[in-house]
Amino acid sequence: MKSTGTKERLSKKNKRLAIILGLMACSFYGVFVLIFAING
Amino acid sequence: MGTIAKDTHHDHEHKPTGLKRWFFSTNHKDIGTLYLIFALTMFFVGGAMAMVIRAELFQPGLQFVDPQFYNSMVTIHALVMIFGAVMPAGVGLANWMIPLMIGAPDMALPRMNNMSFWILPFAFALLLSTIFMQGGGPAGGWTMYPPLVLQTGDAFPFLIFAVHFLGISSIMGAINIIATVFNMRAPEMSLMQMPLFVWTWVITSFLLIASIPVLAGAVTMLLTDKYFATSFFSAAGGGDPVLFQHIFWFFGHPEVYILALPAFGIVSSIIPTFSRKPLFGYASMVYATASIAILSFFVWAHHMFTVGLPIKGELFFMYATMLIAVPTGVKVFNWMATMWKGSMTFETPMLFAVGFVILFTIGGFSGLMLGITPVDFQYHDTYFVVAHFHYVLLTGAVFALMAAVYYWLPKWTGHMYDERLGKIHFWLSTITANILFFPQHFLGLAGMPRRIPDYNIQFADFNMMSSIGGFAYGVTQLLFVYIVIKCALGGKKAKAVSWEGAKGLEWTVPSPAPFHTFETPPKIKKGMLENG
Repeated sequence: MKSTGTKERLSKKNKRLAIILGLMACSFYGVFVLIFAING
Repeated sequence: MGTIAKDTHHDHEHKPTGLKRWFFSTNHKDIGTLYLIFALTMFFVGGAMAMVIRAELFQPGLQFVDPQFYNSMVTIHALVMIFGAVMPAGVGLANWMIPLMIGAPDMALPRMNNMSFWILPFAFALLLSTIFMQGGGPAGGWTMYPPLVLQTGDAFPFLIFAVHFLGISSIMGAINIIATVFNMRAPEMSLMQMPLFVWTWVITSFLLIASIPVLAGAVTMLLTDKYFATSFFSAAGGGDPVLFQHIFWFFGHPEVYILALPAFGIVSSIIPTFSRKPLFGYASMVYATASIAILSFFVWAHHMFTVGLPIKGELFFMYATMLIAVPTGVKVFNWMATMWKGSMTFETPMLFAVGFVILFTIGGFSGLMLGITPVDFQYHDTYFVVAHFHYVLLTGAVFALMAAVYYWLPKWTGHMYDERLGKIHFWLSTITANILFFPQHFLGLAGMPRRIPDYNIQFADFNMMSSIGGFAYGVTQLLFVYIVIKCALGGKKAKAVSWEGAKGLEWTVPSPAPFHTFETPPKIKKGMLENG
């Protein structure tokens, strides 16, 4: 079994990576629509 | 091996029961099971629509349904099969197997995992409800090209929101897989020791994160064009309908590989097991998969050669498309080299895997033909295209998914399936799928257009043949359901290592896999991961 500290650290690491990847996806979406909206 | 198996049987074996177990589950195995059951259900929903299509095309003339409903069936069949059957089945396998393959106790973000699954039934309720709406379901094809799609009635916003929800679900699933593989791997397992199935899913996840937002952007723009007076795709307002095609296929071609790469991973796990040899060229398989994924972002316009692209553009996209054949060829060569001089046996998973290699390659070759610009001018929007992508997606992706189910069913249920029935299922599927789709090549070459409920009398014979194959393939899949249920309910007990040549961490846990596994990271012994 992992200790509570290790588990918490891992959980934080997972959440951080998820947020980064989520922001990446959102920025693809946002930038994409924005470019066409500005062009339009 | 024994130590790990024992470690999993401690007091954490308790599990929730009843509806709570399934609605609130954060367990990767339960969520994997939910995904797989959902995918199978959608496979039959989409299959029923395919039966309507084939019944209508059995003879020339209009028989059973009006053209609007026919087009609606064509559109929803594609959306259901792509987003409801093949993708969720792949994610279900990823949920079940990735933590087991990399020695992780669960997925990295279990609550998000629950949410990614439970979005799906709601998204499909939105989509399928459109069939009963005023004006009927969306009928402009799954590609949703404007201006045609903008003529959709009340169904339109439901279609758009369904696509958004499906996208959100896929992106959350992808994030979870990446976080699991990068952060939760057994400490002794390096990236280049991971099974190919895990690699293909990591690469697929990046494809999802990069391409799904593009689709979401495109359909949002459709929504604002219809309801908020924008003119992104309206020529009358200064927009360009061809722009939608560029955006859609910038998502659409990577999407093809989102469906195909996990299939490559499955086959790369199965062929070494039943050849009793390590995977030939493991590193080259990883690089080939990554190359295919990267190249998939540079070939989108081969879907739109006939819209009037500049000649330089057509040449660029033609050559880029040809380039994809190189890493794909590497993969097919490596699978054959793995089998070469192997001590091969042909249990059902291996039969489906070999069937995949042969039939997917046929689909690949017809894809190469379609990728040649001048030739595509003849084939574009004909039944040749329909034949091509069904070879890639049905005898390709679906065959690989079937192979995976047979391969890992003993690990999931603790029982061996009925091998005789499995083999009958394979042969009937292979024969009927070829009767269904092979004649469509000839129909396309002779000029029969796709997405049309009626046709010239000259196409009658091949269409009748194709429909008979379709009905037979549909009935054959009921046998698959029977085999799976029979296996889940009982049968010969499966060993931890269910197949003689199987290697990898998933085979170190007992069959059925306990509710909690690898709470202590496993020790990796020499040779344990050598199958790739």
